[in-house]
Amino acid sequence: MATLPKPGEIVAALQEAASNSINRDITTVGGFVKDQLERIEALGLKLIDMIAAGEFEDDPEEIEVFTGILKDLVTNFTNTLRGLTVVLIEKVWNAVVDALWGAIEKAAGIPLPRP
Amino acid sequence: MRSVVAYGGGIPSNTRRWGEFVIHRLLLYCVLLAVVAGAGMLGGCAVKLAPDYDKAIFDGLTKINEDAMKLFASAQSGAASFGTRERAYVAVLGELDAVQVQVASRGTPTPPALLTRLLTTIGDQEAKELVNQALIPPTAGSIVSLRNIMANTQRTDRNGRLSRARADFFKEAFATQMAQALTYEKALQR
Repeated sequence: MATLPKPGEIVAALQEAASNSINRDITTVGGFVKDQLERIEALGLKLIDMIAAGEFEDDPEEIEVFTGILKDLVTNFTNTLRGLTVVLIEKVWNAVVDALWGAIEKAAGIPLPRP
Repeated sequence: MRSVVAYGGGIPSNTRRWGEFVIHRLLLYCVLLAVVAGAGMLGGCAVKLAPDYDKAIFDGLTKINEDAMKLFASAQSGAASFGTRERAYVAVLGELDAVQVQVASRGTPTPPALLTRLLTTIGDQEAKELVNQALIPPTAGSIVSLRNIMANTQRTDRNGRLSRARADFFKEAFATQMAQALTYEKALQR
């Protein structure tokens, strides 16, 4: 005989599944963002120091190479953050789907094909 | 949606608008990806939005990082000439090209079929393109940037203009870019 879940039971299970799947990842992404922003800021400051010290006095066009590298770093940082977000969303949603299927199977008392 | 239309034509050249463009795009990606995942849920199937972890790519990048850091250390010391580093530059550039081929052959996940049908029905071509863009793994772009940094270091060194300051900048830029690539590739190990 199948047992119907109590109100809020499935929501709690889904919430737990979502939290368990991303808790560690959220910490990782947070650390990545902080590290990258500090690194990019340091590079920007370094370039300012180089310009102030006259590093490019005899070839000013070379500055564009360095600013171009900084721009690529920022663009790729946002792309990487987007990529990490995609992985997070995939993990959360699949964990929630899995928990939901489990709850339905338990309530129905029959095995269901896994998505 | 005004901002979506405003930035639909690509990265603006103006620096301030470029920053706004990045923020708007990130927010839009989040919304669209939630829709993608939701479509997967409605379809009753597990969504796959990112490629599988590939140990060969991760190991390849790790090896390149080690080789590049040795090369930068030599360049920073100023003790040796470009001639002694020439082969090392060629080797690192070749390794980057080899990993880029592996990344390209890994492919890109396709959006869930239900979402594709939904967007086709709505006829929103821009939304379809944004979803496809959001699913492009960032590693290929990171490798292009790593190659650019290394090629510029090689050129500057060959021309005898690799000062300590420039070598430091190139090294830190390379390490920052490599950290992005390795963090993403490691996140795929799920």
